[in-house]
Amino acid sequence: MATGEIKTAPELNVLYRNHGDWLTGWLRRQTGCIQRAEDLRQDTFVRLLAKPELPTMREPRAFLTQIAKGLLIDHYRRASLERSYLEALSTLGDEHYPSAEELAMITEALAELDRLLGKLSSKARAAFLYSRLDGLTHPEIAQRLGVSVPRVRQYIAQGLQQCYIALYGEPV
Amino acid sequence: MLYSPLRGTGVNVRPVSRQVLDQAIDWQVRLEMGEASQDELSALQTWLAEHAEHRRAWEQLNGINQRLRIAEQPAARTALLRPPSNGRRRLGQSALAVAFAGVLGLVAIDRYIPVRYVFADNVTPTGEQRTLMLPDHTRIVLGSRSALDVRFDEEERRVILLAGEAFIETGHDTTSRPFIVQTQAGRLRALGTRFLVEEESRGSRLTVLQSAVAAQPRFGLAEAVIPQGEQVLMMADRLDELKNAPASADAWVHGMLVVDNQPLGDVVAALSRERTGLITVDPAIAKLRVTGTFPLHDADQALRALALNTPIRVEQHTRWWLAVKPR
Repeated sequence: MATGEIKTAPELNVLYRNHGDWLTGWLRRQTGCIQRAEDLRQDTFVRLLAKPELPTMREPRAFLTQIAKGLLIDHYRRASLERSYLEALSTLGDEHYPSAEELAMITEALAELDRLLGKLSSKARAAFLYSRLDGLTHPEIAQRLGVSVPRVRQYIAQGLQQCYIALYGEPV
Repeated sequence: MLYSPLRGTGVNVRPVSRQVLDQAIDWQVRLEMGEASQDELSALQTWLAEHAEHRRAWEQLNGINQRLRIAEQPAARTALLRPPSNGRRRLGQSALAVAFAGVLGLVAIDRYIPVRYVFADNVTPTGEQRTLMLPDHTRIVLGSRSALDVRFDEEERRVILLAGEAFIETGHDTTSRPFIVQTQAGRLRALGTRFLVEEESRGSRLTVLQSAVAAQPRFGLAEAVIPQGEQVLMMADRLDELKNAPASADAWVHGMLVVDNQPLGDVVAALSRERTGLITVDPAIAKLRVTGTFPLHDADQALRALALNTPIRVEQHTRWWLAVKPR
């Protein structure tokens, strides 16, 4: 890709005018929902606005779908977190069903923590949370997860490192 | 306690070097193992003293815990432990309708949970406090989520506050050994007295209720005498400015939360620290000023009392979740 140029509002306008509807169509095929497609188109352009500069692009549509795909993945991850949460609520015998607004709050907090825990495997996540929130000892965690104690320590160190990077950035 | 409920956000966010981060993580894991000897603890203290970057890494790692709180709720935990689904494969599937409310609630995730001090002599869980009577008739009330070691010998009466908060009323020692409270930030020498010590992310907050206490930061050269009625934050390298101690500073010792014209969001954060689970506050009412005296260890009761004379209502959704909303 060629060197970036300073983004100008007209440039973004052109992109929006020429490819905005096409992007909505693409998103609609992906999501099967016109409302969601329009929201995600909006988000895609908001993300572009936030960029300090827009690269010169030979394939503007490929560029747009690349950003939109990232947003879609976030979107599905949220939806999946939310679904798991609701399923867990009913499995655990909580009879209350949260309102849309409350659910959005919880989902937001879940997505934030999910981002923090990042690429950790579910065993590593479990080890990390058992240790930090429940204060289980390493042997207790090892037994619950069916792994060795040194492995538990590895998981906890991974968890600390992953959270650190998500919060403060890569160590220098 | 409530006079500074939203403290501890002053962590320097600049990343440290990889080497320092690895060392700090190694220390945290070792402390968690519960096998840290006094020698190792002093080695940690030396390591912390060596460089500001070491202390920064330590503070930053400690800051992580407060972000994890949503996962205290079992359903949230379950959702987070599901293996992440492959987003790519899911492209093209239709998703559940999700309402993306633009307004985020204030989620009270404001409790600093230290590395678990399994080697501490005395540990209190969330929402509980404990009274200790030491051999010299010193009375200590440990607040919620606190950890304290007692190390008396022939030379001195030393207690080590590892986490949380303590109310201390010293007894009269027949052999006149000094009474010392040691914290990560330094040491406090009691001068026949009643006082409060609270561990915060930046240091130890000392509130002197009677007589005086001599405070010496870990890297400080001299003691400073803090008189009755004063409050000070002791950091590892210096003492912050003295402030008047709030009249209700020791209300928690009696299980009370005294609120005088404070934002509702802060009050809920203080109650939330004493309770497991999640309390959400609608942003529309988080800044509402409230006044009153409430039971500290019964958030449900306290919120119900608040709802009597403020335009709020409380929805209890599950044992794990209270939502505070406008009426």
